[in-house]
Amino acid sequence: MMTIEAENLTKRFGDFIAVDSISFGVERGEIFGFLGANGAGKSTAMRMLCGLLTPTSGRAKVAGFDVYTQSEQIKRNIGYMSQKFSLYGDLTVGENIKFWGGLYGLSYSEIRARKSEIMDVLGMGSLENSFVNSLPLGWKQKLSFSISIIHNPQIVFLDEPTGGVDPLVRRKFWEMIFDASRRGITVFVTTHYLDEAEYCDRVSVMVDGKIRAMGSPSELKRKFSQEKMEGVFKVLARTAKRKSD
Amino acid sequence: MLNNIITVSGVSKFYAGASGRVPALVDVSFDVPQGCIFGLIGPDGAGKTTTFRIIATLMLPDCGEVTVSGLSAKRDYREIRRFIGYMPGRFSLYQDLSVQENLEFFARIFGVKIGDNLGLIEGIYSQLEPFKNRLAGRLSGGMKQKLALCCALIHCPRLLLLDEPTTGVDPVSRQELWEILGAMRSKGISVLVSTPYMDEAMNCDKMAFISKGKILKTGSPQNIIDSFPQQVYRVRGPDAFRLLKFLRGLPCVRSAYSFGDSCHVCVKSTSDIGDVKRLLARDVGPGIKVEEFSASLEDCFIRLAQNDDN
Repeated sequence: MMTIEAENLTKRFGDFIAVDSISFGVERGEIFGFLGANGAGKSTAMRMLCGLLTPTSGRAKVAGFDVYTQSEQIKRNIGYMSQKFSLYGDLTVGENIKFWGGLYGLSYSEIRARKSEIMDVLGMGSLENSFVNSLPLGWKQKLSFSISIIHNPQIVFLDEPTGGVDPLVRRKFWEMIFDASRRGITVFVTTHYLDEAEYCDRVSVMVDGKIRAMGSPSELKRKFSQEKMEGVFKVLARTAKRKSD
Repeated sequence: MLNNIITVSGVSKFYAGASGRVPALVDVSFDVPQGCIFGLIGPDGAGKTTTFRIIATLMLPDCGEVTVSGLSAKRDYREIRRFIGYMPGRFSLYQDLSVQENLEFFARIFGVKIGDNLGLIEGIYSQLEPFKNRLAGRLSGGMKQKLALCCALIHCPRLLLLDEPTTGVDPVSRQELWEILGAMRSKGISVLVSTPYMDEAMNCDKMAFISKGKILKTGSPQNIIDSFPQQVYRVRGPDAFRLLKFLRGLPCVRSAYSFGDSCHVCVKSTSDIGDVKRLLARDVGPGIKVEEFSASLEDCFIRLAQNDDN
């Protein structure tokens, strides 16, 4: 079953085509890596899929809902996490969980249950009353991810979730992603760490608003005769004509 | 001529926290040789930014001494500030000024003109020029970093301090930035840089691993790799995540971490690898490859960070 379907999805800003007729599908439980250089159009595409930006043309369905007419239902059925925006630093760990749980419409008893589950899984029991600002970045990221799937969404969108995080924490973070995908949550993720692209079931590489390559990491490495995804990415990114501005 | 552009000896720094004094740096000592690229590598909250702020004379240590080009960071801060270029981790330019205005502002503060050191910044400046009237806050991540670097270089500093300059920057732009750093070094500018990317750490002449406010190891990347205490085995097979979980569950496995499409495994004693192979063949199935592999800097980092956790 497809949880994301996009067909000729396009976004123009004036005469600038940020996303140029992209088509792809993501299956339930799949980890889909959405790669591209800064300025390739990833964020714009992601905002359309999250129901935050109306496309100029094309079609897309996310979690079974139409991006033009059902953006509210989309927002309720997806999780979202980015490095730039995640948790409220001046609320405690417990308060953040309550706040986000409430926002996603969970009942008090559900929130309580999910809270103790999250604290257990992360081994953060003693930190419930700590301000999020006082946590190291790695902990914040793991907490932020747990909260982004607190309502058990069909899909979670992760926008550079491991930016600036050290190698040990990155690996722990990806183990959480694998677990979520095993539970049937579809994972749509962007990253600049190309070893992480190897962990995805499939990846796409965007260049100048278009999807230039798509497939499993091993297919792409074979196709471009590269040993690592890093090589595939560099070959494609160097063909960019658009100025990263 | 001085051998070291930076000396840090016995530096400690504490912050006030809810539960008393929180140590940010504990007895930190290291030297940065003149003319080299020195990497400060460590996890979040390790104390990297505090170290940068102390060296940049923006903060005083609670104890210990720092010298920059032979001058005291405590006493001679005015003079030091004249010949260092500092690029903080958080984008610190004026978002509501244009690219050109930011450059002019920094040039004027240091009493130079943009053209004075054009030779140094030309490569980066030419990429910024098409956007010179755009507000800095509206640039993409990669371009913001280039502008910040340009501003830090505008007065041709002797020492460049770069706190995580490539976080959030794509792989092609990261490579470009390192090419620029190499060019700076060849012009005699010393560079202190922090990064969470281990492939970048490999480009440093010397590096220090820092964790929880303490320096765990210093040396050249090759020295550090050579001192990795164990044989690393690379294990490859289908379903890497299941493979990882299986390996972690074996009592003779000391550590197992994913590295791209494979797992890196260390065993408790050398003879254990035979058991690992046997159990893989018995319980996971054929088609699992196990081979000796040389440790990477990332293996070293994970090992140090993990020891530190326990």
